[in-house]
Amino acid sequence: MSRGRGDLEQQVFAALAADGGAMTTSDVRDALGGELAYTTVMTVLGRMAAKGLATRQRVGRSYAYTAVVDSAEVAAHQLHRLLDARGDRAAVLTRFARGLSAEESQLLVDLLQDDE
Amino acid sequence: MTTAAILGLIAIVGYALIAPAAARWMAPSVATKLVIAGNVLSAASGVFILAVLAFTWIGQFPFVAAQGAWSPAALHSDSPVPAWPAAIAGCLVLLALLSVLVTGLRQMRALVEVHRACRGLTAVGDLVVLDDERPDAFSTPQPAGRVIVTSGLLRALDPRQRAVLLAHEKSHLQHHHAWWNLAAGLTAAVNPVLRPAARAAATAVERWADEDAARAVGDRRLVATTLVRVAQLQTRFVHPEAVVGATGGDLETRVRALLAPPPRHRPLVIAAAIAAFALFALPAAAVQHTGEALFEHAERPVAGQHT
Repeated sequence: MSRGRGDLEQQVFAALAADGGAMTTSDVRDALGGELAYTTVMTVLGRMAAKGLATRQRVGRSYAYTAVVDSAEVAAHQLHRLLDARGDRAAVLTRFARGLSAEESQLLVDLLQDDE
Repeated sequence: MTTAAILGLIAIVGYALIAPAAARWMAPSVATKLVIAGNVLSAASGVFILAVLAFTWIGQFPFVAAQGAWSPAALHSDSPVPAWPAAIAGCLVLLALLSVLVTGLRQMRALVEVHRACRGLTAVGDLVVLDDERPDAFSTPQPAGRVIVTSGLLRALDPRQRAVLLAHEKSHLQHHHAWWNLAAGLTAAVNPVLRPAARAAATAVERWADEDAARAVGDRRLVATTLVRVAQLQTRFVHPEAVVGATGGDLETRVRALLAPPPRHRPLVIAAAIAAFALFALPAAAVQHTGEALFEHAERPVAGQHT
């Protein structure tokens, strides 16, 4: 699977943010499915730390990284309002998926099973 | 003129009925562009035909006729359109313009609001992670578009599912999908008959991003299971009323399409669709032509001798 540099950075950031805590380079590598080279992950993490997207602290001979998830209160508040968006505000967003009714959910699960 | 106008309006209804089914036959990127182009043409031609009909009546008011160069009496005796259908046409045009104006202004305000909310956020490329338990992901319109994902959703997905999610949202930004959706919404505001076609276009937009994600991760089934997983996670958090407004597209259609082989480009279907558009445009052109002839015929003899 080929990935652009920006894509890889997003994947690494997403893995860090998903964990929430401090992760070593090998933790991040495992969290990404273990298919990337150790040095690749290390380079990306180093670059993210330099950009201020992650903080790091020494753990033994290497570093552990933590994602800097935005804590700007005003922006976060506005984003929370976007999460609850309805009507026009919802119309300008493209949403990945929406909630389902119980029947819809069962139908989709059946579809996936039939395909197996 | 009346025949052409009626044919034109029938063509619009015919298009509105066919478009949702036709969209399913085409590759989603093609379906999006063609259906939204078709919607814009239909909405515009509908307003145009009704406006010409209305003007055969409005043109008979002495103060309007005075502005133009025709005689109200001649126009009255020549016009094939009785007063009351023309008046109704005029009201429909007004309603359509009012509706598109209100919808457009509200969407503009929402756009500004969304951009303001995203300003000054720390983003990795265009990805913003929001510290929130609720699983959710969406993208905001370009320029300065952002992919916003909650930490709750990232936690609930495995690495491969996260790759699907990011690839899907990236496709939305890359292809300016929010703008296609907004355009579709405006055509539905002009003419409510076009609503099902606009919904089909919104589903095609999501399918487009799904196909891009499937290509990026190299696994169609994985995209389908990720979709279902996220939808199920959201069900536990999202209020049922909020579900109605969200533009997730038709999930069942999307999952079925992903479990089927990848869509092929069908040049014949595209050619047929474009030919149909051209055919649909004929009655509107005829209305334009006969409308013009009507007013020319009603011109006062003195008019036109300006030199």
